[in-house]
Amino acid sequence: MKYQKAIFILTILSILILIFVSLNINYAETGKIKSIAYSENKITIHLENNKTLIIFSDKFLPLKSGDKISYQGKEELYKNEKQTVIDRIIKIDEVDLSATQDDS
Amino acid sequence: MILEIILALFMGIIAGTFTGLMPGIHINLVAAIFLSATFLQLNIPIFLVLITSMAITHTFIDFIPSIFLGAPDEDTGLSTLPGHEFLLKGRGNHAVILTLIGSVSAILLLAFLAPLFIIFVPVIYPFLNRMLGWAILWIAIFLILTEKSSKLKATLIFFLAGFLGLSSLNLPIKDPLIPLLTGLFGTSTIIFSVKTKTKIPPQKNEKFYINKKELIKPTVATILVSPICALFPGLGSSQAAIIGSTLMGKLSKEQFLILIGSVNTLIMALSFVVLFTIQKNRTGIAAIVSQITILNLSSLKLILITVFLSTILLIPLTIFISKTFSNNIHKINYSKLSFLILIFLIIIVFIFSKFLGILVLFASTLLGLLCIELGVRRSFLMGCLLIPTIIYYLPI
Repeated sequence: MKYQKAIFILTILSILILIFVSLNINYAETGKIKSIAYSENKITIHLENNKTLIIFSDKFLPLKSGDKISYQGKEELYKNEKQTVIDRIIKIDEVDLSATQDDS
Repeated sequence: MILEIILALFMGIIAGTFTGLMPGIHINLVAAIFLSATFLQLNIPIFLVLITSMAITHTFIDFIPSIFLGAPDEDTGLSTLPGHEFLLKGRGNHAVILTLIGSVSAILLLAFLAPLFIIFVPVIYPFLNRMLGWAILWIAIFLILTEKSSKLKATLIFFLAGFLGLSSLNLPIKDPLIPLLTGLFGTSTIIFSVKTKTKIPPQKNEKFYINKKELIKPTVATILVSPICALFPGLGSSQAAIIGSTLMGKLSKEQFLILIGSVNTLIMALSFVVLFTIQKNRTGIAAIVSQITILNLSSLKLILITVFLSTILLIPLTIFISKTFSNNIHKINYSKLSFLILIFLIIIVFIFSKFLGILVLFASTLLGLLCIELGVRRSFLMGCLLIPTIIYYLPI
């Protein structure tokens, strides 16, 4: 019974820690926009550090070449090239643009 | 060209056997390595044969470490417990053969389902997409309400698993499912086995017999559930097996192993058909195929022929590997072996998911142990994927 209680308490604690970490961890990266291209339901941003960011959205973003951005997303391999599919993007020191993102 | 294709088929089977037997080494990883290995200079048909035979082989072989070593991957987690029970009764080989029957029946079903998919999926996909969240929510509620031992404990485990899944899937880690499912079904089983000083008895090489009637329920469940799970991301073999067993009522342990074997293989095989019909990637392997080509009907035919040829070769191969494990597992000091597997799994999790992965592994192992201690069916641990899937698909 003691063992069961100990496991129960440790489980709750560890899940709470995970929830806390997932809500608070900052894993954003930064970069400077080299070019930005719009196509149907997709925005492709090339950064000066040669990274490619993809946003699946048909909306217009108030971003232009030379803007500094902070972004979060998942890196994927597409046609043998790495690209980051963006979950959240922010123009540094300015407005949060994430509200314009589609969930898809 | 024919010689190259045959070589690719065998290479794929060797690679799939390796990924299937090594806990934590996923086929997606090896497929990505093949994809980036430009020095191989594979043309598209050969690459398709290589990838397909590897993927199908993996789905046949990956039950062997799950059953004999208690080291599952994301698709075989639910087989660990019934498989382990068979192992402790000296019938580990029997359990593997049951999953093999499931896998082979899945390939036979594929011949029937593939043409139906090509005709009907483009029509019904939008409707299913709208209904799926509600359907899984209903299944989750049904799963809890039909729990006989303790509904409260089952609900607790289900929701704790849900919170664990939600937080883990939102962490910035690569392959969060590796630590999550390794902990829930793998390391927790191993630790429990070591704690209870489990001894593996000599395995019986009994003649295999199964009543044909036993095949009806798992086959019907596979036909009902696999197509749905093959269409939607986030629904894997484990969820399909839970949904299938919930829909079909009480399944024996034998039937459950057949079911999980068949959905595991069928979902993989159907993911190529789904890629052809609606251009959606439903498995990592389909995603890799989509990176190199747009599937046309002749490519799909080549893939399906590869699936059938691989199956013919995989039946004796799976039996041979399983018998080898079965004849030797009792000679090994199981506690030492379990300890080594535990260390190996921790290293694999660290390589793929770093420190945060270890944190997820720790939490999921504890929850897996809690589930065992409370005597709750381990399928409730799949709340870790069902709850995030419900939230993702519910139109709210």
